[in-house]
Amino acid sequence: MAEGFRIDASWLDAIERYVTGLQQDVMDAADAAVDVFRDELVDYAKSKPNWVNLSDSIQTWAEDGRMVVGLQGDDYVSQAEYLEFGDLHNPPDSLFRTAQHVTMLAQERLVSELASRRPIRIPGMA
Amino acid sequence: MVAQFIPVGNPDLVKHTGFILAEDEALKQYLSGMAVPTRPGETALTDVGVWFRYPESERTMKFPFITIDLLDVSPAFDLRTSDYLQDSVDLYMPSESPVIPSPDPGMGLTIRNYIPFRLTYQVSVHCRSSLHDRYLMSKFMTDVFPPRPLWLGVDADNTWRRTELTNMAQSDITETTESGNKRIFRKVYTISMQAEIPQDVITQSWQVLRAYVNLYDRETLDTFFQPELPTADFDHADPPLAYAAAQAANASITSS
Repeated sequence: MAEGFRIDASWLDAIERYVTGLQQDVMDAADAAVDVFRDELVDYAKSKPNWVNLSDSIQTWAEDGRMVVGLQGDDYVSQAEYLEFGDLHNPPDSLFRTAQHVTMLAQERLVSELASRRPIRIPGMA
Repeated sequence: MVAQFIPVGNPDLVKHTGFILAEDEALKQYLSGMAVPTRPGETALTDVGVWFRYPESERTMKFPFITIDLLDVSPAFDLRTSDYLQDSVDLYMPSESPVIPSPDPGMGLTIRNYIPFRLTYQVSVHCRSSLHDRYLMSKFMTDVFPPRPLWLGVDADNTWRRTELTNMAQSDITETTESGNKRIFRKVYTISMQAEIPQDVITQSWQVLRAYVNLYDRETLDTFFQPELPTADFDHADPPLAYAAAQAANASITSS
């Protein structure tokens, strides 16, 4: 019977620690990116006169595992919808659909956070 | 080598159909010409008008109709390339424009890369009946802004603009009139269109006349890339001794 090949238990422990660490790194990086996204979006809203009063009500939250950005509170939502899409008398002054630069900044933060994280080190391996 | 600049000409402010105006016109033309059944089961059709923003209040608003709003014009930094000079042969502008002069003998033409932008439009469909609303929604989702890349023809320069549907939202509203409140079915489509600002200054450049390329014999290649040894007169020493002396000299330089 051929002799099976063996993996040192310390390697598996190291890999498990590494994967667990990666999971934490991704969560930390995502949190940092969400913070950047919200802060930049609030700043962008403050730069638009129609949105100044609503800017501090912009929030991010998780819904079914997805990040949601918006405003909470019926009055705010109604006002924001009229601003975002316009109505018969007022042209749209879009915030969320024109925030591409905010998305890019958050993405850059996410990438830079992840790129600066842990290299893999396994005992006995170079 | 840059030889001289050739101005193409001053912009024509009257006939201007360039950046944004060309895309506006193309989008309006693309959305025009639709019709919906006037009533269920009838063969009579009602034309669907297209407006930039809402029609003036003096005009009778005939439903259904479509409005176009330009939301944003933003630089597409992710599509930009370095601003180096590029061979004009590969760009469509010189081959399409009748006003590009021929270069002088022995010269070529270069032009800077066009500057890419994204235009964000809101296309809203307004209806007074659920039939028209659903009919047009189906038509928009399948034909007008299908879920795949859409290329919009622009007559102004006979080119195409890549266009994407980025969002569809229902935003039904109530219109308050003298005769009371009226319901309006409104569907909002957000589209992103790629456009470019052409660069109209052409640079006349010398064509390449002569190219100098350094050639090395393969056997001497390793010697060529060896670090330079300390200058000393090793001409009369044995090669191994000379190498050892050089190493010692290097070591002394490093340690000092």
